This record gives sequence, structure tokens and C-alpha cells, in this order.
Amino acid sequence: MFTEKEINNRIKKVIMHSLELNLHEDDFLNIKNLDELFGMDSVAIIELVIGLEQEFKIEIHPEYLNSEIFKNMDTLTAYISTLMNRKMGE
Amino acid sequence: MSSKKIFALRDLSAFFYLLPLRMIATILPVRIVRSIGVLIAYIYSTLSARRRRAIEKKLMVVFKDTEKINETEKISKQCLFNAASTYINDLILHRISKKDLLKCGKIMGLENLENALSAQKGVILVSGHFCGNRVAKRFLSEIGFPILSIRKKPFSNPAMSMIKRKYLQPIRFKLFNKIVQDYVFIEDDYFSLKILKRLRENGLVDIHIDARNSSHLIECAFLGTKRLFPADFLRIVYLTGAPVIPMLCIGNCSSFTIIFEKSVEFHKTSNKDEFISVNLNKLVRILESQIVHHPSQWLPMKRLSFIHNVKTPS
Repeated sequence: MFTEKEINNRIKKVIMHSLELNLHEDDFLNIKNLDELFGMDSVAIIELVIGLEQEFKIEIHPEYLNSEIFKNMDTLTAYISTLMNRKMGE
Repeated sequence: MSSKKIFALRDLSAFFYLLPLRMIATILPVRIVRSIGVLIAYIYSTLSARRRRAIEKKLMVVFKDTEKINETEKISKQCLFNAASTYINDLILHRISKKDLLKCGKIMGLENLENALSAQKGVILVSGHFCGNRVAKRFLSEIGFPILSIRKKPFSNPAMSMIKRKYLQPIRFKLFNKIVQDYVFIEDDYFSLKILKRLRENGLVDIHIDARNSSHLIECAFLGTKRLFPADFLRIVYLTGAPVIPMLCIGNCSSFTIIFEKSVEFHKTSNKDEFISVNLNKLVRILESQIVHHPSQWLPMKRLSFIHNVKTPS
């Protein structure tokens, strides 16, 4: 089982790598919505989705490709944790 | 800062189209509206001498060294006729029954689309602004191939009159929403997530390669001049591996043809920036070829802004 903290840290790494950002732990605390990271780059979120799928070896079902899941770090972490724990239980 | 003009003379045609003509088109039988459309298109293409000349000037560059250079006068008139007919088609498109629509459409290369869909990665259709696009999309939706269109919300041009900004533009926007029902606005939050969702559902997404609705534009040689083309969609291709099929839709509500070409074979590269710069040009060449074969069907041909700065060949 992965803890939410572990998953959260890995998501942060994916965000920095996929979006080519150089952020510190504190910077993430100030981010209320993930779209703040995307700026004018309309395709950045696809880079993030693909990055997450590669990192966690999962596939995000089309049903969950929505703004609710990708709203902020908490919603994304909760979703990935559920997926990972389900995967571990299989 | 917005214009202080209440009404501009050039708003008259938009006013006539969006109010009396649109209302008449909801009452009269479709065949009569079509006849009215033909008449209006004929008058417009005959009287718009300045636009015709400007189109001819562009066509001379496009067709230099070819036999078609002798047909520029005829083609320029046809460009204006088709453009005006497309506006009338927009008024009656939703009124045409499925049965009638299926009778007047022809598809070529459907096997190319089906082959691409068999990869289960969705398909990105790349098209230009051709006359038959909207009727083709309705037709394809009716036969089980709904297409997600990418659109831009109307913007408030500071030069617009108050009447156009407050009344005419919203009516045109509503009319357009009724015609193109399956769409996403590029201004929407997470709009590219909706594109990914459609592709993951093995659906179709249409990208107008001659639109400039992109945060990343690249200049390419085009029809004897240079033009900016959107590049971001190629990042989506690079990331998702979705096949890309060039689509051409020509004709109108009475008779139209949809052509699906074979999936584009992209040059493989080591990084996405190189992938975009190498392959965008390939897609632009396909569009160019479609325009050269069907010049009067390409709607931006009539825009004067597209034509300026073009030197007539000596």
C-alpha cells in the first residue's frame, strides 16, 4: 500500500518533469488550482496525464479525464491513491 | 477601448442575414430558401468586383506556371458564390431531414478512417475551412461518426459597432452553436482534457489547420506566400500517438463530398519540438494541395486580409 504522502510526492515530481517546472515544496502549498501551473500552455495537462500514467503505470479512464480530478493536488492525489490501492488489491 | 459607433454601414449585410433572412428561412420551405440563396450568392459574386479582383490577384500567385492561371476570373467569382451559399446553408442545415441529408452526401476513403479507428487511439482529423465542413459534420454524426470541433468564442473587436457587438454577434454565436453542436471552446478550462477524453473514447476530433487558434504558431510557406499555422495539436499527436487523417469536405447542403485521405505517416524524431517543426510542414502541403484542387471551396480565399502583401508575378 502507498501512503497519500508518497503518492503526493511522486505527483509533484511528475508535475515538475512533465511541465518542465522548477518548484520547491513550499511552492506547491501556494498552488490552489492546478491550472495555475499550466499558464497559457493548453496542452500541458495532457503532458501531465501521460506523465502520471507512465510514473504510476496506470491508465486514467476517459470518464475521469475531467476538471474535478485535476482541480488541485488534493483531488489528484486522492484519485491516484484510489487507483493505486485498487491496483495493489488486484 | 471599444468603438463609439452605434451602427456601421458594413453591419447592414450581417443585420439582413441574421434577422430578416434568418427568420424567413425558418418559415419557408427549404427548397425555396435554397433558391433565394442561389440568387443572393449570384448577386453577391457579381457585384463584389473589388473582392473578386483581390482574389484573382491571389489566384495568380497560386496558379502561376499552371493552366489554371487562365481561369482565375471564373474561380474568383465561384469563391464568392460558394462563400455566400455557405451562409445560406447554415440557415437551413438543421431543417434538412436525415433521409434527405444521407441522399446528397458521398464519402470517399471511409476505409481510411475505419482503419485508423481500429488502432483504438481515436483519430485527429485535419481539415481546412472548406465550404462543405458543417454539412459533412452533421452527415458524419448521423451515420455514427460524431466529431468534436474546436472553436473560439466570439471576441469583442474594438472596431466593432455597438449594434454588432451587443446584438448581431450574439445572434450569430447562437446560430453557430445550433449548427455545430459537438464542440469545445479553446477558452474553456481544461479544454485539451476534453480532446484527450474524446480520443481515449476512440472518437474523432477535428482540427482546422488553417485556423490560428493556438498558443503556438509556426510560420510556413503557403500558396506562394507565408502564413502562421497552429502547432499545439501536433504535441497531442506526439503524446497520444493518435492517427491523423486529412479530411476534405466540399459542396453544400444539396450535394457534398467528404474525402478521408490515408493516415499521415509522420517523420519519427527524438523530441517533440523537432516532431512539430518537421511534420507541420507535411500537413500544410496537404492543405495546399486540397486548395489548389478546389480553390473556390476554400473559404479564407475570399478574405482580403489573407490576400494582402502578395506580389503579382511578372
